[in-house]
Amino acid sequence: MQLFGQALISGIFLGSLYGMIAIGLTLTWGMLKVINLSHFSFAIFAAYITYQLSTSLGMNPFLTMLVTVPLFFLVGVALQWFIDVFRVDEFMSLLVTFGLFIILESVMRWFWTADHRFIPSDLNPYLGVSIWVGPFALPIPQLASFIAAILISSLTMYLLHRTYAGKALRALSQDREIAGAFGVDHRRSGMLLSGLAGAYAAVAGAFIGMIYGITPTAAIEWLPVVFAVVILGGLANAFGAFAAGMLIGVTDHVTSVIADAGMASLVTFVILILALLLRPDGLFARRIAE
Amino acid sequence: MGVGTMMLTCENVTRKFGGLWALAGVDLSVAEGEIVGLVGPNGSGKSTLINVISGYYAPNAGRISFREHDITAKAPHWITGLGIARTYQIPRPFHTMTALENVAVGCMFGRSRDSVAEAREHARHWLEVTGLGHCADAPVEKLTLHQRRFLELARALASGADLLLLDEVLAGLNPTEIEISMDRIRGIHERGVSILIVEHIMRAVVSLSQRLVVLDQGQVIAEGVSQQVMRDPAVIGAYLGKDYARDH
Amino acid sequence: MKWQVPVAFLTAGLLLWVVPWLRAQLDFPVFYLIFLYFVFFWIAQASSWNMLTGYSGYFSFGQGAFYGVGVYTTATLVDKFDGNFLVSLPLAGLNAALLGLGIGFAVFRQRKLRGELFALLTLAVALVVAAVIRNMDAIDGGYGVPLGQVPYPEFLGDYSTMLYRLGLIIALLTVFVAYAIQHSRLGQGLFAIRDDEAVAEGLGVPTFRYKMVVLAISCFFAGLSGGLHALQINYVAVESVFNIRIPLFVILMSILGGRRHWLGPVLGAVIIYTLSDRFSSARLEFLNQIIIGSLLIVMVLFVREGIFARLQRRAWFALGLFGLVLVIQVLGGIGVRLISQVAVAMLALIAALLLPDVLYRKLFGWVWVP
Repeated sequence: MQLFGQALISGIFLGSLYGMIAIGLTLTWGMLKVINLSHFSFAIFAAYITYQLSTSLGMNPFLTMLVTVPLFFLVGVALQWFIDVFRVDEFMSLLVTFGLFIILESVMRWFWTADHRFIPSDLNPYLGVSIWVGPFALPIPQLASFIAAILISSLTMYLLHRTYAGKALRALSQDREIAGAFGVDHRRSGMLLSGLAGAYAAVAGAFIGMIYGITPTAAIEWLPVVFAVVILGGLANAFGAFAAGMLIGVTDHVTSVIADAGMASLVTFVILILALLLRPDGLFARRIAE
Repeated sequence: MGVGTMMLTCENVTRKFGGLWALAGVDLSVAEGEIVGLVGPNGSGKSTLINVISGYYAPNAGRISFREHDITAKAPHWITGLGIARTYQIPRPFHTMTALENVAVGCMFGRSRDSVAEAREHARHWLEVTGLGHCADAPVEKLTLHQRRFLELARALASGADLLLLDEVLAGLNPTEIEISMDRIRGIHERGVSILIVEHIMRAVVSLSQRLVVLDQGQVIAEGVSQQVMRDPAVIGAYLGKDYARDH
Repeated sequence: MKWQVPVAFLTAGLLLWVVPWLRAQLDFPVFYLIFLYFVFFWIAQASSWNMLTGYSGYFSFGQGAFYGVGVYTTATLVDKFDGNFLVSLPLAGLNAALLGLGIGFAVFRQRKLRGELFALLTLAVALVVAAVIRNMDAIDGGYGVPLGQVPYPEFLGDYSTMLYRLGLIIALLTVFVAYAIQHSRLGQGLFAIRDDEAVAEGLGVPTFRYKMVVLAISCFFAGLSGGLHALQINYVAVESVFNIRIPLFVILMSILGGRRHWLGPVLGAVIIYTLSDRFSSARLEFLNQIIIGSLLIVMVLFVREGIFARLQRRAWFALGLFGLVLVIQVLGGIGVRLISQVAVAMLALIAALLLPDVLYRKLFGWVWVP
């Protein structure tokens, strides 16, 4: 029973990390019609930077976010600018960001080699430290990522639904021409949104660096699951991404406990297929039928 | 089929989208060899009716029959196989192909089921009929709007259509192009093709059609010989507002 | 189809069939046989992918699944059931085709959003297939399948020759079918579907049937080629079979070469495999990926129709440059192996073809075009 409960908690924490990565992806896909595969590369690159800054400069891993978040905000803005200038459509964006993904992976491999990079525990004081609630351990980095995920999705929901820029973006994603006619500057809002997604990726990356350690192929390992989260949660739905992340994280860990780790990934992907087949309208609900 | 027998019959055709009744019980028929004009203000359901007849949407209620077949809610390619073809308001040519290849698709998959080689030959013929013989090998990207409209027509004819559903084929053309187009449409009609033409340009549709049907808000509000219909107060009201109709 | 075409394919096949014998006579390194086997493998994979995605426009991310099913069909039949390896090949193709048809049934009947759904579903299926195979002890169970020495008919020659010759046959078949489809009603129907499916349907193209047919054929060849490749890999493991390489490379090869024409993927396969192989052997793996990633971006943004279309327009210029660069290297003794010299000449070829039309006309418009 205790094992089950612990698995549940670990699953929630893992799920929050999934959700955090998924939010950036679902926003740019849903609202800007950009399927940004390099989003994962941004996260892992940020993780590498976190690793590098903590090991070389002894910086507190949390503080490295002061560097990575603005950096990847700018990267996100630049990416969207590029996409606007070259008029990349949704389908092309998949291929173009795929190209970027490959390039970034090899850059990461060149600088940091294929070795597994892990921030040593003396430089990462929070690793291994847990808050205990009854018989259950809540490791601090994971707990922090959970809180960060909640903050991020709440912030996003607020931005999209309560601010003018957010509403404008939502209008834009539903009908570009009409929103444009109302004077909505879609290029600027789009770049800001993409920047935000980049920033989120950096935050997620810092936590990945702290909790799991990284290899250049890490981006590809997170990709399928996060895609499942995005699809399950519905495009452009920040809260949906968070919730779906939880669901999949919990399913993953609980299945590992009940069956084994191999089955866990199988179950995740089967959920993905079912989500695609049974609720494609939910996935694409924002689009109106011809 | 003798001229004058019923070719296409729509009975009480109904279609709604979300909460909106695009078609609220439409009765319409086209006889063999007729040209019927379908007019009405924007949003009256004209294009929806074309979509329903050609099988792209299924009606929520009602029946559509073509000659002795019930074509209600059937698959588009089956309906095409019976001899109905449609054109689109914004032409939709196959953009990576040449004009010839476009029309050839009509030959291969329409009623004549040509082989690839036969299709190429027949396609040239249809391009001549619609006046596009000289641009057969041009990629469609290079064709003007007017030419693309007629490419669609050639493609529709190539598929062996006996009934053509023309969806605003004159929109956006200059007066000369409109005259040329009207002549070509008459030419096609004289070859024995029946036509249901949806149009906004009143003088054209009144001149071309033997009979007019007026739609407003998904219902037929008038029908008959063109001149009479255009003087019907209900029709004037639908287009220009009830006050105008009352005052005139 | 004109009779000259099958004859041309047959002739090419016969000429290539005797290459192993030639190699032995002229004492060229075995490396070339293996290199050519891989070229045939990639030609088969890229062509099979392109006849589905390039012709119909339905983007498939599932090449890994179809290829992987083929690999594991052969591996399982040969290792676990002591089956005849040659017999396992068509079965490998068949299994892959069945998987594909299953996906097709699920997706092609939908009216809306078929394209996106198909792309995502093939991606998901690829992941599920890998996970299933890893979990099933009867097939792999995470342990891998060691194939070792597999018996085959003697007339095929020694091991590398056998792989070469079977790979040649499969590649030829795949490319021939791609050619045949392109010039048939099926092909024209698929092109119409790709350009505008709703209109194609309206004109009478049997879209569901055509898509299922091309999907089945595409998957069959992916699986067939995979089945043979199981022997090349020899120790079959989930990680090496179901990674990103196969789907990535076939996409890249077809995009580079051109998706509208059966020769596109062939060209793309030859170029990309040669470059990739040479970069790896020069320990420039890093550069390899950077170039591949950049190439993908450049092609998608600027040369959407692929280089084959441009090659047709600039044939003399591009091929001439290729020949020139190659000859200079050979005569000047630059470069280590012939194949590296060819790779460098290919880079020159690509550069010649990527030159924007405007620049090309200004700089080289005077090059005589017969």
